Amino acid sequence: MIRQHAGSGRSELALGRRTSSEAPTERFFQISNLAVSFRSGDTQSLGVVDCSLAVSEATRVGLIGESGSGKSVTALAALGLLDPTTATLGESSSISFMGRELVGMTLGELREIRGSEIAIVFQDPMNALNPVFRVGDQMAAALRAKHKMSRSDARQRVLEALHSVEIHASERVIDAYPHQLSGGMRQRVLIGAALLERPRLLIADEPTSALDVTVQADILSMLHSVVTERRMSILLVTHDIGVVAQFCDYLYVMYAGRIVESGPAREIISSPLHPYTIGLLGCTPSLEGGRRRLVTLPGSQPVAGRANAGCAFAPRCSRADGLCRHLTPKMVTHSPGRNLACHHPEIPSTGRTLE
Amino acid sequence: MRLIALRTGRLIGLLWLVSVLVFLALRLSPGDPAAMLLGPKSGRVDIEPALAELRSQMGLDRSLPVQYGIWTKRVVMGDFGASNRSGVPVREMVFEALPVTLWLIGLALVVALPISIFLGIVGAANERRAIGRVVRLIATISLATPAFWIGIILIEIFAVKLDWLPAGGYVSLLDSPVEFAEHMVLPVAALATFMIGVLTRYVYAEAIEVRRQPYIRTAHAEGLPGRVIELRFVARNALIPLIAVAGAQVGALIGGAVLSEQLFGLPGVGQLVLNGVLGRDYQVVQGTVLITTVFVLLITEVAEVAYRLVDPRLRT
Repeated sequence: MIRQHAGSGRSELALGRRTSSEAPTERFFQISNLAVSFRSGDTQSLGVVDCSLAVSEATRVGLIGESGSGKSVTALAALGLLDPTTATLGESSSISFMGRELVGMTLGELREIRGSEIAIVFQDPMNALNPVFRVGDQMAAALRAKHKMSRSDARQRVLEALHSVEIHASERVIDAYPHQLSGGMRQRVLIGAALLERPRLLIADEPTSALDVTVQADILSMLHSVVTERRMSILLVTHDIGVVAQFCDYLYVMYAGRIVESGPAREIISSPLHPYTIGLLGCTPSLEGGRRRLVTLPGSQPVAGRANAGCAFAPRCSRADGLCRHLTPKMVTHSPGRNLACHHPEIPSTGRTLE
Repeated sequence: MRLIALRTGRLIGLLWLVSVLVFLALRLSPGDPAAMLLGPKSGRVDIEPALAELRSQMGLDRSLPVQYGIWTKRVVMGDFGASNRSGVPVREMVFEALPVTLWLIGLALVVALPISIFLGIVGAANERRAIGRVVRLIATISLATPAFWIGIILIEIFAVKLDWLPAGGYVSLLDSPVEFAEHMVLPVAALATFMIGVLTRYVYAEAIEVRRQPYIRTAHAEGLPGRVIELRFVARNALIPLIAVAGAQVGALIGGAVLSEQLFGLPGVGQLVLNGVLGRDYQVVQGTVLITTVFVLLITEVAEVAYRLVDPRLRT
């Protein structure tokens, strides 16, 4: 399924090659040096160039980036869900979960982990549910097939799961077809399905992007309380910095297939260091700030991996100079817990830049 | 309610169209039914008065619109006329022949559907492996091989060489179930072999499409075994539209059945129409085509409704 990689590239070795110190973690879930390339016909394109991130136990981590930054590919790769006929993982890519290396696992081994230990919620609630099965039947399928549960036991578990995602009319929803439910309800069902087997880690790929803002807030607060209650970890993938701001403990910012900044969420929001993060924050309307013009980032994101040398953000960056255009900045520790890949980061207190 | 009215209207419109087309096609084709009826004698000159009398008897001397009007009026009242060769009422002839054809097509579908579904689903699940390639090959070969050719081969092997089964003919199920079965095996096998090509390709294409859907990815993300995903999820999604397709196939197959009936000497509607056309037996051809059309439209309609009942999105 996924190309076999040297198993030794897992922890120390892989990290040792890098100059960064990762987020504080007991290696609960860790992605190191992930690179994903896609082949379609004769052309090869890179979905992810270099992504390393870690999620500790019972923490909420955000992975933020524009569409095309490789964040969804990273989420899919985490469970080996990329189409093996078109996607290839880089040589030193490693994904480990509680001491086990997922890259190179057989499909059978991966299935043991999928759903039961790591679950994923997809972004498109309209199409992520099977249109010709009742909600309850498709949710129960995993319980019945994997855990040999009886029909009535499985139904009971599904009802509980629907309850935990705050669906009150669970008796009605369980026998409904997806098209009979609203978008928000469908998203709750998807989250409920992901929680069914009580996984330790939930990966949520844009779980609220397709929904109305008010429904979004409801679902996020529900997700927050469920995750906290069960002491689960969550990796929340989104393009919406407003969503992660209230939700996450720790944040990774991804641009053109690379992580460019990481750190505690509160610190990144209050004092972003990477010009890209600053730009992202500038694009977000705030309620307190009074009337001010929303800043937009000029230009558009390059296709990941297309720019071969230099910082991928350089063409859109006001601080870019010759150095940026010729040398890709490495992830370095900026201050305790904060890592950064930028030659000219913001200096929070003085406003000066490094070098 | 409105839908039913709409569909009934469409049905009547289609029937009218078919009746006009059959009527015109027959009148436009060369050959004089009266001359055919009188046989070789009609080559003689002094036959003209007899011919003219016969034509006026049959109403062939009137203008086309009038002829059509008379015929439609009778048909609406349930009178399809009689064969101008045997004098047997057309309705009787059709209702004798139709079961033969429907048995042939129905049994062929019963044989071909499960095989096609199995091949299509398994083939799609192994799209890039050898199994997928084999399924595509089987489907293409089967599709490219005419049913009558397969029929000839089957007759050669099982009737001529091995002498296990009769080469042709028909015995009614009511007369002798065993003989009925014996006579049906080869024609059904020939037609089913051809149908497997059409249906397998359809199931395969549909399953390939379904396997790329996000909800199948969701199933994979839940860690479901591949067997469950393919046989339960992919299969149900891919097979619902097959109901409508199989229904529509029946119409296409009646056309195809003409050759099989001819080859195996089955007295079905195909034979009836063919002989009618050859003998310029207008009443027989018109009546048979019209009644058969009604049946085909009804079957298609029933399949369409069944499809709507099975697909929860269309139910409401």
